[in-house]
Amino acid sequence: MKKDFIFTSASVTDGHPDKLCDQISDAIVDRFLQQDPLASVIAECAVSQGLLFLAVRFSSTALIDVPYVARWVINEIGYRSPSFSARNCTILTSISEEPLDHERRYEDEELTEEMIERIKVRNQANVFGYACDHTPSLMPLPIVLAHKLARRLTTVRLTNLLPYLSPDGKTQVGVEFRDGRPYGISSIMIMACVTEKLSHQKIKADIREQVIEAAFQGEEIRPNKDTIIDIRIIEDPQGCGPMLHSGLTGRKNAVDTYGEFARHSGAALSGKDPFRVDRIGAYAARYAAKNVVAAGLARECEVHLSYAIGRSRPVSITVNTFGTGIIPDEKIEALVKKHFDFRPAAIQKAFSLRKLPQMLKGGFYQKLAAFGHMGRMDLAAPWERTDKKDLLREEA
Amino acid sequence: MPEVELEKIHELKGRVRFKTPKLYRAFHVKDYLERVLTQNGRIKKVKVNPLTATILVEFKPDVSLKEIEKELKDYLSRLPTKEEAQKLKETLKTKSPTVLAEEGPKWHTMTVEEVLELFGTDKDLGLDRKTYEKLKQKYGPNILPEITTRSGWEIFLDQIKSVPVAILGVASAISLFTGGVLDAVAILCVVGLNAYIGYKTESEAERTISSLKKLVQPEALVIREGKVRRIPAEDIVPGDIFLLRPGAYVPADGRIIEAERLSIDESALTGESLPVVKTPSPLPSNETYPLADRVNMCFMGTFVLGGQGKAVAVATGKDTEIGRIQLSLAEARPPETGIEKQLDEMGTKLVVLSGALCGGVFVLGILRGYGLLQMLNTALSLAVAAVPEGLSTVATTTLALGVREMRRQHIIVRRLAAIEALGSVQVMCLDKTGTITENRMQVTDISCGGTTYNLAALENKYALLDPTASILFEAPQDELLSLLAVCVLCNESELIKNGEEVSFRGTPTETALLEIAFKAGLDIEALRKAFPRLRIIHRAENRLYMVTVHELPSGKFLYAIKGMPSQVLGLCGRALVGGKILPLGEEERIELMNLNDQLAVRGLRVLGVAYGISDDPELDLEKEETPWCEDFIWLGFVGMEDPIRPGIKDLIAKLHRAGIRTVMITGDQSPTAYAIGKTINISGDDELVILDSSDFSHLKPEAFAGLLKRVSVFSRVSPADKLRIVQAFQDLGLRVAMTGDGINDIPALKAADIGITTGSGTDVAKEVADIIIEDDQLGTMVLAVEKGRNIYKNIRKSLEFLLSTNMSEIMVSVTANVAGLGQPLNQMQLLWINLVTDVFPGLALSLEPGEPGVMEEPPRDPSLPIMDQQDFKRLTLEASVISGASLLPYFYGLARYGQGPQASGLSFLSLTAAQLLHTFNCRSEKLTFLENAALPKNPYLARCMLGTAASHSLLFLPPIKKILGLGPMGIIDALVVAGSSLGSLFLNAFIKKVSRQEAS
Repeated sequence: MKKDFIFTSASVTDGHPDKLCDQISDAIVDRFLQQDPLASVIAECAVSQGLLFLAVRFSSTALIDVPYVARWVINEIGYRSPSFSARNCTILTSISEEPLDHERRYEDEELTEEMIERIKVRNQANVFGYACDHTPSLMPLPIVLAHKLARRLTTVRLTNLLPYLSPDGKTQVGVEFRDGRPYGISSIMIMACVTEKLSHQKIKADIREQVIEAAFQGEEIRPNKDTIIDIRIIEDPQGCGPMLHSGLTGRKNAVDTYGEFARHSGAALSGKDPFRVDRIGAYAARYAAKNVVAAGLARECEVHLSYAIGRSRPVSITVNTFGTGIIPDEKIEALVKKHFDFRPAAIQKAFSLRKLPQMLKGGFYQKLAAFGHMGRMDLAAPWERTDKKDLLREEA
Repeated sequence: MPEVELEKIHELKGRVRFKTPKLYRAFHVKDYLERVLTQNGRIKKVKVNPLTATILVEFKPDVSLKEIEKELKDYLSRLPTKEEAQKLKETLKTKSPTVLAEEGPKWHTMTVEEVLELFGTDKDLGLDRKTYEKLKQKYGPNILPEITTRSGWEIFLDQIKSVPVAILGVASAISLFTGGVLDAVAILCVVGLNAYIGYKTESEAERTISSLKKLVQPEALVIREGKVRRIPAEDIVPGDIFLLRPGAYVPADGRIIEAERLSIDESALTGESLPVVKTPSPLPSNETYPLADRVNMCFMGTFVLGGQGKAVAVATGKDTEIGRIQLSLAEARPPETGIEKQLDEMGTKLVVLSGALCGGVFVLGILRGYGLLQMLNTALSLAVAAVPEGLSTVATTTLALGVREMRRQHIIVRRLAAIEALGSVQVMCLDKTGTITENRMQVTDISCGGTTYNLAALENKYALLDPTASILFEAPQDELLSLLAVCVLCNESELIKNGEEVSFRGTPTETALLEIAFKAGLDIEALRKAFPRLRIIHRAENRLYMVTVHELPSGKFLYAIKGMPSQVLGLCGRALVGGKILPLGEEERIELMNLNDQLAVRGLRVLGVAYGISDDPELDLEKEETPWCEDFIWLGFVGMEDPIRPGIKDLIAKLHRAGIRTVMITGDQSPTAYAIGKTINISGDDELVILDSSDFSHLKPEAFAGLLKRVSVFSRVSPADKLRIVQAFQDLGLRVAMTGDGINDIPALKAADIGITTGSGTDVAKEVADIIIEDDQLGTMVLAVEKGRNIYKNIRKSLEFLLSTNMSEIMVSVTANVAGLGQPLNQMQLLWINLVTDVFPGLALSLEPGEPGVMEEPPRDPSLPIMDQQDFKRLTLEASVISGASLLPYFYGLARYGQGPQASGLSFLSLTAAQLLHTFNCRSEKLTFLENAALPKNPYLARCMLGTAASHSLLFLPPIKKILGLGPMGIIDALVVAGSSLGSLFLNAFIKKVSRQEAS
């Protein structure tokens, strides 16, 4: 692999239409699990202009007010324009209720080894987990910085520092790598959308000061005079966001994972209950990879799992450390296979995934749906735990 | 844009005639131009003559000719094509006529004060008695000019005025002059008899139609001598101050004085279906305003949808806008129904066709050397036979009879065309409140102390209990009992005892609470007596609960509280659980709120109930900090719902089987919509798709149209959007029925092809609906649809019979004439067949009781004509078979007896028999007479056949025989007649079977 290169990763704010859809989908998952942790639910969302489409398939004892949840999320994110707001958007819901799935309706405590084995995978999936030592969260630096900018872009709006910004925005950070290590910031791109006519000069200056500078405060690697900073302002009197471009659940997989620095699955993460292996498999793979790196067995690590319908265990588990491993990859692979249980029911049980929305006030998955599913130390996401690193180190 | 050629021919003051090649033979734009040009009021009259390519314009003298010329050129440069003109005409017909040009003072440009002064009236005091009397003298009663119904004589005359009768008159006159007195008398008798039958059936129909007009005695609220009075609307005079309240008709034309969110539906006058918001401020005087834009005026006959206001009457009776355009809200004679129109058109075409044929027969006869008079008579009687008289009468009569029959099932039909439309309904929009549900509240769940009780569990639970004060509140043991007691006390509804009968009066919610306590066995009167109420603190905008204060026997005071669960819970520091008072921790609160969510998501209205005891009866609840709050004790939740009417689910299923899509429209939030939509299975086998929106206006029309195809529940819908939904379905080319009972449903009810309301609906809803289901049993709607479909089918059956028999007569005459084989049917025979043989079977067929399985078929395509080309092909085939059955015996007669009465008698008798037998083949669209056992019995048919048999037995009487020119007949002749007529019956049955198989 080349040692010197530039890599860019992009992120979007929570008001980006695709992300809006992700959050609505996951808010619905949250609501179901809060009322009925054993519920299974699939929620897909699409939005275009003033029309939001929601398809929800569920089997649960709970019933939720689907359009209300969607409106709540829209309001929370802050869309309040006359053309698109929680109050005036039109919501089309297609709801199909299915009979209770008794095979899966067991509390975690009731899940015995035999039952975990019996619960099969229902979706074929290739999932990838990745970790590297660029940052304390063991995430690749470009995506971490892109998220940081996106988050800051949201914060300055919500805290009224730059109240004229719309909730819709995009960021991109280019990181220069030398000898495989992050060395500098080569470019920063920020796209912001405003509804009013304002001096672009002023907006750009504001963003430079309040967003970029603030975001990089305390960062080891910062933009310097050679960094290309490009701030784009879009004016849309209709209210930006869905009025400008449409959105769909699961279209921001790279933003949700590693910013394309590592491989990621084509399957969406949001809008699926924690029995769907294409979602939780990705979490488990990240957990394994992160523990490998945390244990110091490698500087970067990718864990790949292949699932086939009708089986409970992945048909293949592979580990790749890209030559940074201190022991052979095969050995790490054996350790991963030994210490990590990748069966869906086991993942679910180990991370208490069905209980998280109840435990966290205001839900869990909805929060996860913006600013990345991986590296979320702020949410104490269970797959970010490094509790197996000692075990791995000892046995290495 | 190319300049339009416009040549001025002559000009007078206010009058000009132009010539332009554009108009040459442009018949389709005649109506269009005459209408559009007079719209702005400057041009008074326009006359277009497409033959001479000229246009005559009469205009107001103060308008310059140049302007007129310019306007004319403008319109001429963008004339509609033929298709567009037709479309325009149709859309115009469905809307009310355009309003006349402005006359009289421009009230809308004056200020309120000016108007009041002009009438010498005061906006607070109204008119005094003296002025009123004077004005009443001057203007007369406030009533619209009546539209008179046809009198009996007129109906009878209409029968005689028809084309066939005229022909017959000529025929009889010719007979008279040629010495055929008997013939003439016979013709006149038959004409008289036929006219009498027509008169009887039509006057019945007329009676039914005029009874459609509901006799309402409109009332109005006026201010006179400083007092509000309810008076009959006809007593209003210009200058009266009248009040405008939702759901009431505007009693006279008025200038608005005060308006508070006043919105008025003026569609009756302007055709604009969206309500108009009114204001009192004057409009600038430098412009002209069509009625729809006069937002500070209100017009007689329109009705108030929302808000309230006050107006001063400026015109009454025939001077009002509605009076001037002679348009009554409930017209005595409704416009022709679609079927009637179609049949009239069909009739005209057939008249032309048969006229040509008769002419042909006449000319051919003359050429062949028959006498002029004889041929004239034959041609005339053939014309009588051929002219399909009264096709539209068949429809009117059948529809009117349907109206009467539906009335017996408590379905009031207010418009004749509604029956026809009913049969072709493709989408049924149901408003939730009042039609799907009962529009009342009923407690379904009470949740307290960790248990949820349903209605059945509560029944008479406390019947034998004599609760004392301490058990209820001071030393409570049973949270359910205490909760019910609070529900009774913190409640303003009243219990009304009428002997054994107990009823409740008050708001729906409180009535429901009282009802459940009563059902559980609590003695409401005793409770209220034991705890006298001292104070009521009603709910306010930021305090969504109600509190009542009661005296306790111990001298302390009880605070009974009910309201929004989260707020009530916020007041409570403790809870009564299992008879013990326990502190309310954070965890318990969350659990309780989850419980609340679970009830709410089922679509229930949820109330929280609590109580407290204090020494002070005058605690200030408005105070921000209320230390006593902690003392409140949480009791539980009460969940209630608007119950779904029984039979709705069944109705929906039946409608689905009949291929009718059902759509629920509700102003409610989506969980209620989802819960109800699921319960009544509104989407059938499809996924339940809900469109949740309070404003569709920002949706693109095409997107909306696309959505409509899948959505079966519309939630959070505003009244204006109800209308939009109905119209959008109509734009997709679908026939839409809408049910609703509230004021907010009215625009949609009106716009729908069929508006349906219930007997318990508001008066205005009943006023605009086409169909009222008197007994509220919506299930009968299925019967109504079924009836509508049957009636349509019956009209077709009647038509099939009448047209095919008429056609067969023509075929027999024409064929024989063309072949030069004499006259198989003479004048009297033709008359007999047409006026004696065919009348009753045709009527009987229109009264067929309906075929089984009508409600298993999809609705018919409303765009198809009642008889299409395929039908005509079949009819022609049937007619040829029947005429064959008449011609073959004729040929046999010719061979055996030669030309003369015997041969023609054979052809006459076989034709009569074949036609009568054909009735049995027409009883069903698909089934042949051999399969008729599957049809329900038609008692009319039996009677008609009996009557026809009796009248045909007259044929054996010598005088009749003589008149008809029948010769003697042998056994073999009789067998030939029987054989050929039966043969035609079987052959036609075979044809029917084959065409049925082809169709499937």
